[in-house]
Amino acid sequence: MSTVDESVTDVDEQPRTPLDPHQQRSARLIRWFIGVFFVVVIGFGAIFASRFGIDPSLVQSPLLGKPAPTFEAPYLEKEGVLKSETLTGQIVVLNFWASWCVACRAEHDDLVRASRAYEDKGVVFIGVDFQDTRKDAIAFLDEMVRAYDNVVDDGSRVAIEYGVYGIPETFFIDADGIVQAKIVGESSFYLLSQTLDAMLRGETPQSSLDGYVQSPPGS
Amino acid sequence: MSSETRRIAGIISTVIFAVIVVIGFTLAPTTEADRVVAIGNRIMCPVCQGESISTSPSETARAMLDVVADKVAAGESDEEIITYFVASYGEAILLDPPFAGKTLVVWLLPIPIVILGAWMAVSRLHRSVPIPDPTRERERAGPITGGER
Repeated sequence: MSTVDESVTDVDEQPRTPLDPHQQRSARLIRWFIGVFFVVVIGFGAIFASRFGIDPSLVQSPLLGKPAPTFEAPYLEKEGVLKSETLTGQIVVLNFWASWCVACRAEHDDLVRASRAYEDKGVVFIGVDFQDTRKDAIAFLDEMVRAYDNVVDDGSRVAIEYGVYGIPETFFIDADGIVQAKIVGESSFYLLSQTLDAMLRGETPQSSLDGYVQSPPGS
Repeated sequence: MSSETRRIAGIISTVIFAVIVVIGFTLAPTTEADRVVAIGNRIMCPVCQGESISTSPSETARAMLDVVADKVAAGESDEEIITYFVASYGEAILLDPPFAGKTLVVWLLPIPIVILGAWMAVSRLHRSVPIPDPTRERERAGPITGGER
């Protein structure tokens, strides 16, 4: 239909003009559309290219600078319950771990070394056993070294309070109960001592938020 | 009954049916369990990929849903519960990006795109409106086609 229409117009009214106003307009529209299309495609391409390779689990830690959530959790290897309020006044290093976590195994010796090095500087280390069985956790500690108390995180309540995405995650809480720093993923003696030294000097330590964390098996 | 009447009757009964279904769903009493699932649908399972804690079978998601259930039972509002999870996990824990800040663009961008699309569709339709009168067209086409028809 439109071909007939256009050929008629061409022949009858504007034999010399290659494009009538309608065609010119649609050609302009098509060029414009192609332009917008490419801008959008390139824009999205740039966004994706810059975001790929960034693990979505690497998130800001909203707890930094905020009061640490309080908790009560039963000890893993002794009777009784740890009430987090009783730790106020000391620097607390709270390490979430599990026997099934590869990086936890790798970082354990460094945690033990750091806990011994800072023992008499008012720093207390607490391990929080996350989504684990008591038997496996104790077997893990039998295989490794024991240096500080561990608690069991029943129902993952402590991990949820602290916004744990995967383990290991290590939180540094100052004497006033404020979360000062966080290490996401495998920590090292260097990272731990740097953070603790900064806190002992009264400075705000740097957090290490780009480490790899492991999700529980089956999730 | 003409086919046109049947068609209209069909459309009307479909619309009435749809309205009844929608009203039924919106007026249905919401139980605490419904609220737990609805809140859970807004919260991402932190150990999964793009799954809500209502749908994920993982231990973490179950534990978080338990926390939601406890808070619903304790009489907390939906927003209070969401705020609690955002406070510890950050806004990344929400499945829907917040309608504020940087993520506002993902909510607002579709609006100009839809307007642009509608404008393009309308302008295309308008273009094909001035269809020449067929008799006049035949008259004008006469000299070219040679009047075979």
